[in-house]
Amino acid sequence: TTAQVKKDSLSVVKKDTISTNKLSYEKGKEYILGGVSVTGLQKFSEETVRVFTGLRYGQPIKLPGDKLTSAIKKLYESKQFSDVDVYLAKVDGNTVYLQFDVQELPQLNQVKINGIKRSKAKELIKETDLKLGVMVTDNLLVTTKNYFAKKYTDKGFLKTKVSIDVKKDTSDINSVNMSVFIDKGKRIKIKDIIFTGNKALSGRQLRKAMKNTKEKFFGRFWKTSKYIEEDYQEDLESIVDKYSRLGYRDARILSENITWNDDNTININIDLEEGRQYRFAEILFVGNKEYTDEQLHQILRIDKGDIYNGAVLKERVKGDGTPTSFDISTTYQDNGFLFSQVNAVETKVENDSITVEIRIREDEKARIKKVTVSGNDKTNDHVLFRELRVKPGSLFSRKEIIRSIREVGQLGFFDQNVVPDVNPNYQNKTTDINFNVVEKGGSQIELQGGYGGGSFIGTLGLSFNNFSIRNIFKKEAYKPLPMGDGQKLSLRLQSSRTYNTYSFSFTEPWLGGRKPRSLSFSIYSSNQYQLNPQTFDVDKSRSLGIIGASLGLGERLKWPDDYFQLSQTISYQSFKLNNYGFRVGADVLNNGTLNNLSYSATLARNSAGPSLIFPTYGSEFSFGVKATLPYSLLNNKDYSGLAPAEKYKWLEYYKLNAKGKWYTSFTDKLVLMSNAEMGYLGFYNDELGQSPFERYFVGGDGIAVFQLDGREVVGLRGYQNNRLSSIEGGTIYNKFQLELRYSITDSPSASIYTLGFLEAGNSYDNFKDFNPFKVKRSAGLGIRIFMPAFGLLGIDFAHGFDPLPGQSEKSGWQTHFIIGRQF
Amino acid sequence: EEQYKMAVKMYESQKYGKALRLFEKVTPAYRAKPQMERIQFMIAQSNYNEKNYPLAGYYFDRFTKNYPKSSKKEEAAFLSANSYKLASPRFSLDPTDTNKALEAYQSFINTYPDSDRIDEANKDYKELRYKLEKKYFEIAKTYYRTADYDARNYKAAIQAFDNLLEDYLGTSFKEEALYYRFKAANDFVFKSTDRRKKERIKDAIDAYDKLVRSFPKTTYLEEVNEMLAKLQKEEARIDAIIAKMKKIENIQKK
Repeated sequence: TTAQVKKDSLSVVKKDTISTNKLSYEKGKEYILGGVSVTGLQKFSEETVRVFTGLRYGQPIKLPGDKLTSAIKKLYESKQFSDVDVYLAKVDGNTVYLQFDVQELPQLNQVKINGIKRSKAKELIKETDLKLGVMVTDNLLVTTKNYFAKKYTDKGFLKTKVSIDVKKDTSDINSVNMSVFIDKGKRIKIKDIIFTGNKALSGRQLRKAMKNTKEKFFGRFWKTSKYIEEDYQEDLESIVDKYSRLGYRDARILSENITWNDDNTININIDLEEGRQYRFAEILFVGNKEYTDEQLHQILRIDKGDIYNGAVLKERVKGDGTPTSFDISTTYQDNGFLFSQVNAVETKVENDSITVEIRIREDEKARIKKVTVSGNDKTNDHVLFRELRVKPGSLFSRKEIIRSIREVGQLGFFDQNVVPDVNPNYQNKTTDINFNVVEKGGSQIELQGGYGGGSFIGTLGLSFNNFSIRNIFKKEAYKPLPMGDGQKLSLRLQSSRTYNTYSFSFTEPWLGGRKPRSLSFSIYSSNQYQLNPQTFDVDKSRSLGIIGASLGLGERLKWPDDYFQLSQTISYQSFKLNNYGFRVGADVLNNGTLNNLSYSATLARNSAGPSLIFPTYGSEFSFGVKATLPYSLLNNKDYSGLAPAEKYKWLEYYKLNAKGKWYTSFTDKLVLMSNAEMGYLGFYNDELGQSPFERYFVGGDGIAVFQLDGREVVGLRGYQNNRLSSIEGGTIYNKFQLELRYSITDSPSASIYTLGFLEAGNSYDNFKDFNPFKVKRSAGLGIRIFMPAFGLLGIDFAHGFDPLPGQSEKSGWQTHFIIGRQF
Repeated sequence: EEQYKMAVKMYESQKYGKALRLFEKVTPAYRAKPQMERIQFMIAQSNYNEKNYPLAGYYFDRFTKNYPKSSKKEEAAFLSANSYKLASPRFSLDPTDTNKALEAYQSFINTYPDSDRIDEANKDYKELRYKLEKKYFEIAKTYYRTADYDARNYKAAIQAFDNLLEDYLGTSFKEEALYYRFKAANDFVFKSTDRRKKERIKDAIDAYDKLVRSFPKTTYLEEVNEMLAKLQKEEARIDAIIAKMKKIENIQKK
């Protein structure tokens, strides 16, 4: 409309100057601009308008001409004026004087929304940008009105009425107050959805195909029976899609309408035509050079005579949108053919069979030229580039892009939403790829003071996931901490009157920077003192001191595939007892030193991804062995008569653990985690029997609290912590889990998901008792919140269906608080 | 009006944080008024002084676009570039702000070739460019360093060094980049199967030629000559194999 007005005002120059002001000017002659006056001003100064026009005194100007046009245009573009007219005020020889007559737009002062809750009104004002000082144009009024109306009709208030009243605000120059009246009326529900013309599918089947538009009935819980135009249109497409999946290629909606019932409900009437059911005739491939017809047929998995299914055909040709899609386009894209195009075309329809031609334009393979990363505000390039599977000089591969995103997500300090930006250069048959990452804090700090066990307990815990140890002595790196090399460092100090523990651990994922060989190292020390039960004094002469250290090497393998990892750890613990009274299995030990030196090796395959917190695909398997030397078989001692201090001087045992986890996603927010695991603790010498250390304790939240005896805590919700095992601990356990997770939000600042689970598991004291089907079962619901600064927090409500050992009543409802990661 | 005066007062008494909060409040009322020019400059300057460099860079840049006739345009253009430079992190992090700074300096240098600040601008420009050169050089080296573990990284290193040499013609890393480019190509040859060796030896020798042609007295001369000798020996061996194969083929044909 501005263009229209512009023209009019220009004609005003011509007309008015001649007729009303009786001034004449020569068309097309160049005058000198002598002055500009402005009329119609309210809020603005004359000078401001003059600045807007961009005109300068003394400049040459043609009438009419570009400069004048652009001056008027500039005034409109400032969005401050609703009307601009130009008059010729005076002509003095070669000099002209112009007069601009403007109509200022009113500014918005106050907005009031009536008819809805005040808090809701505030929200709406924010959404629509009705800010103080905004110019009130007709356009603004219309868009605002439409916005409000849509907002409520989208929620099922089909009879929403919105009106806007604009009144002059007398307290300020040229400003207005806006009153919006919203009458949302009653929420409209759908009573019946009636189909006509359907034979092959029943009304019930069709209603089921409509995912969002539902009939009203008592007890509808997951989806409401609201009518939302957008969803409804989508659902109409779903109906056609449903038919096309069953071979009814010609199915279409003939008409659909809404009828109103008296009780503020609506009926939806859909009339459709099914057409006939088709089958596939020949499927031909054209243009394929890289792959043979047979190879492509194997990918397509559609045979002659199959019921014609347009949707599946499309999925097998173009992909189904998931990272694991197995289709022709993806196969090409995974092997360098970035520029390839694959299309399915129906070439012949004979009776009920359709011949399909799959037309392939392979084009040349594309090579990757540049790989770049942006968004890494903290993490150094080399940490990212050594993980990216997309490499310059290689062929383009969609698969490698997806794998790269996973590898970045697995680092744990990036948001999983890595956006790859592919910039192909068709001429050179190359492409550049940029990965835009978002840093997520990976550090957790714990500082606690509390009162427990009759004394003050202080805790300082620091855990950094993306540390940079080489910068530890550089002052300028402390912003606030030296970060960015992907190293893990954690430090924990805890102290009270009766005990203190110190621990430190460090992991470098790429030792030496040449290979993904990780080195981890940890040390800890702990001292406990006996409390005098009468005086509550600390008796420092009765103590238990533990010192431990471990050294681990982990290596990513390339065989059997590159998801495998082998890690090996040597760890040593010494327990020094000084008149302490320490329970070792059935015995009580007072003095002596116990040693636990073990070697463990774990072979694991982890392909889950993309994020650590909420994996949506892949699986995790691990098989681990942990063993000590069989001292008793080597030293010919008679263990049957030995005192516990001698018997357990060097602990001996071996341990086998196996775990498997699968992630199956239904949508990108709904994922099923299935888990099966078991563990076995064995011994070398019958005389010595089972080790009292390193046992399994099943039941509860599964959070490992620092324990003296190297126990392995296995969670099983619905039961109290550790109570499914005997007091000494089990030597065999197994556990099965099904957990359905639904992601509520997954942003860099917080990931939240809810979960529902079924679990079963048990702990057994020896092999005789072992029965993998004699398990304790439970089910429950819970929620997990992950925030980078706090780690993982969660709460689960679980119901145990079976009794605890030795009891007859079922365990019933249990509440579990989850703190820290549980992977 | 009151708030505007207050904001200016805060600005003048160097309380930039407070000034910014006040400016934020008054801007809607001063939209499209002559005072806005001054306000926008002060907002940019306050952000600069508060060390919000990415924001300052953005506001100074917007100022130059909104007020092309302002007497402060040159200063703003320089400060915009300078802000992005100060926002630019160390070489191994996100290069977005570094690129913005380079672009801003380039346009400053083009627009104001006679400015008093031209020397400083040129100096800053070179410094930023060096930062990017270093970045891409180190990334290419990361590929080379990890190539023994993942042989695909030889190709990656070769391509990455080529990209660096192509994108930054006069780079200060030229000699090192050519040296590592040759080394990567050389190592790649000895990791390849005989079937692939012929073309890769050629690529390596080409890389050697480029290095020695550009830097006849390179510090790496002794080392690369030794490598070249081995390559040539390998080439002779491969040629012999090929010749033998051809002979067998010919005999079979007969």
